[in-house]
Amino acid sequence: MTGRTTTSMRTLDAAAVAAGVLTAGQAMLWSRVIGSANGNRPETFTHALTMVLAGLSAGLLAGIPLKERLGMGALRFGALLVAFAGALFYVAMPTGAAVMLHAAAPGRAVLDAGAALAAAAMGALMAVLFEATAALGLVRPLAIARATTALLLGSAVGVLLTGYVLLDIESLEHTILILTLAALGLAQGLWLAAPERRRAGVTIFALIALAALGAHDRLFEGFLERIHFGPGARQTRYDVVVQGRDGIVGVTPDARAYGDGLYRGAYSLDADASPQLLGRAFLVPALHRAPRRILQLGLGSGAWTRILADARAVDSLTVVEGNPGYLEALWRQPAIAAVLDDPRVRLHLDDPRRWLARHPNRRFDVIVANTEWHWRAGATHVLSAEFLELLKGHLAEGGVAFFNGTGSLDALYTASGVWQHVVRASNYIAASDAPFDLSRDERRAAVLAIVGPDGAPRIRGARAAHTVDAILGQLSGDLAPALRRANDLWNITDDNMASEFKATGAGAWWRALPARVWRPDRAWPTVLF
Amino acid sequence: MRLESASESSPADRLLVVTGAVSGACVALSRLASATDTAGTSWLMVLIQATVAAQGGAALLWVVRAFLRWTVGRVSGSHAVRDAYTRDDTATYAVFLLTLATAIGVQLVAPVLWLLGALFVGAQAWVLRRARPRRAPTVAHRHRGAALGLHFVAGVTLMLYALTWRRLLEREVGASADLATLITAAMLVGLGVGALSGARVARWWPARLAIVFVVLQTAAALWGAASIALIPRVGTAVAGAAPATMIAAVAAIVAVPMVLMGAAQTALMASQHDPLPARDRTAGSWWGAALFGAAVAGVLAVDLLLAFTGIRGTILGSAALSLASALGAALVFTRRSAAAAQESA
Repeated sequence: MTGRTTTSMRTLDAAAVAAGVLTAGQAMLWSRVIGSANGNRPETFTHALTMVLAGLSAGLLAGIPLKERLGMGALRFGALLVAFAGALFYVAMPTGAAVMLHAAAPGRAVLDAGAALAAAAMGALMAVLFEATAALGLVRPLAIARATTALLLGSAVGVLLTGYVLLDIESLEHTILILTLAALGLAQGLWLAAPERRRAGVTIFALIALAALGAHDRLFEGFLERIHFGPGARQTRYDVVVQGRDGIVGVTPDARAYGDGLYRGAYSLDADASPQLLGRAFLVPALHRAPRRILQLGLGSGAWTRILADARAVDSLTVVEGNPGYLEALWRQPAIAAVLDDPRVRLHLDDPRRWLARHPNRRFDVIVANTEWHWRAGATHVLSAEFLELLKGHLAEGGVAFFNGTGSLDALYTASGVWQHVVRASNYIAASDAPFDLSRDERRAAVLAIVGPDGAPRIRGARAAHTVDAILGQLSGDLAPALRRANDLWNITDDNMASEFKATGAGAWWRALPARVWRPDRAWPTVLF
Repeated sequence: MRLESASESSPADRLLVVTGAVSGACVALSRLASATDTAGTSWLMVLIQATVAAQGGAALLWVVRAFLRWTVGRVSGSHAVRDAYTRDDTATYAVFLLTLATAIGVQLVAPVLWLLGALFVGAQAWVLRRARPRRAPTVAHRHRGAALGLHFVAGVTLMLYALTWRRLLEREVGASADLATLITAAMLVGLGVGALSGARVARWWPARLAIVFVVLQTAAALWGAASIALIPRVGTAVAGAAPATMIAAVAAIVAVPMVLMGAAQTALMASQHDPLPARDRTAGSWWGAALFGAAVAGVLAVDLLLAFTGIRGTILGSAALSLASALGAALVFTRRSAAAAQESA
């Protein structure tokens, strides 16, 4: 192998690694943005990935024929491709978000198309790099394997760099900008490494990078609200945004917390203002005669933690939260954040299920799980029968699990298979092996025993009786016997992921299909003649 | 375009007109029947709408056929191809007679229209394929298709494993963005190391690449099937361990089968190297086929498999597919060796 070949091989290896880093980084961001634009439904991540993979596939197949048709050198052609992919990646994101402001579905289509086209350009670049490496005189399979390995290792680095580092230290919008500038930098490098003499391309790529930098703030203004709320972004703006690799927490001016665009709670302790929502937190002490040890899975806005800690009966309150972003957002609400200084309150930053598995001997009187929307990707993780069994294993005798089924009847049905008694409070589910036999007076007293820093009940004043009635009125009777007789509900398990794929999403679509396709009552000979 | 009078029209043209008229009328009648208020629709209006829709349907199909014929002629640049296409294309429009099913209550909703479209496109593709000039396929070209199919299947299984293993691991070590990142990175590293290892193996045993592929693919399939039991056990064992141990265990459990699969794909690619002309052996086409398989698997998994078979069924299906591809490859390679020996003889 000659010295010239060695240098070129290194250049191509470096280009392949860089192409892998950019492709994987872009794919991660496409998945995150398209996922957020769809409420992180279970199919969304895979659909976004499918668009990227289909684009890469098309690019790999068409790259060499296109290069031959244009008659360009490999590196120059590669430079154009990577610049195109970077520019498209940068422009399609805010364009899709802007379209979503008017209509969500077309906006998502723009994002999907952008993902596929940008990936196609990167795929074509990969094909060019394969051929350029093979043309350097190595044994062909080895050359292709070398380029493949460089690409794949670069992709692994891209995944780690974007997922662990960039998204943790930078905002989503800035990460998009960084990857765009990196793509244009790679384009410049490839252009300079090409044997042709003309250098105009380097200047053009620099100007594009300058334009991206200059237009960034304007292009990405309101970007998060648009992908999270679509047309609703006209009415909803984030006042505070905390971004990290675990997701985006946004707080609106009316003190509502959103996790990746979905409602997660309000920074409010006023039960009178929203007895239906915040009232469920006040209901917790009314579910158990002596709720001394409470475990709360999911910190959310922290309002529930404050209310539970204010219950007179509580001796210890353990909180487990997986996303540190909620904690950071909570620090900006001093009235609620003060609860974390309470010596009875212990906060653990961990995945709830993993924390439970790591602490098999801890027992609680009440476990409150304020976790995931039942139709969202990963909801099975905190709604399945296996998870509920894990909760049950951490309950003291007569203990109560109180978790957010977000209105899912399948979650109710699943709970009835794990516990003897199941009641419903709004969209929450309370389950226990002991009957829910507190009298109305006992419950009323428990609700009024939640006191503020001044020692007075949190629910007080002229409307106190009305508010307490509204809170207690949410509680249903024991539903377990009726649920066990039901034959049209799903028992959610880790394997069937029923709340994600059967009761909603693809399963629901397929089950509804026969009735949509064949309607004998609409056969035209019968109707018209 | 040559205009013909009705008296000159061929049976094919008459068939097209009848097909268009019937399907147009069916669509119109179905729409009328599906309207919320049909009580006010008189016989006369039904007749008028059906008649107009029948004429419109026939005209529409006529225009579509003329446009497609013109396009085929322009794109192919060959009278022979155009004539061959023209000879058979009218029959493909018979697909639209399926709109007659509206008479028994079938609704023309999006999935039905997609199905009709797909059938029509498939029929057109079949006619086009017949119309193309035929070349005598060599043994290498015949097997290139098989090899592309094997790469496609590899992409399918890879994607299915990626989607399901993440779910399996989440149960044991907790769900987080970090875990997803780690699994993806470990799979990519595994594939990369596998690709390089496969190339080395290809240099050591150039004559036994078929066996190498079959063995590696079978091992990957067995690992896939075993992962249903293996991942929960390993996950439980490391759930309480230090983060470094957990990361190493998770990375190893997903990277090992990826090494096998990466090496298998490279061995397969190397086995296709010699007999093909340069244009056909671009690495892009092999990886393109694999990534296309992964894309198809993504849609299949979330829109069908996970809803009906769950995680366990999807993993077992993927392992079965992987094993079937190993067996298929063994068959293809055996036949290829026999054919090559015959050709050289």
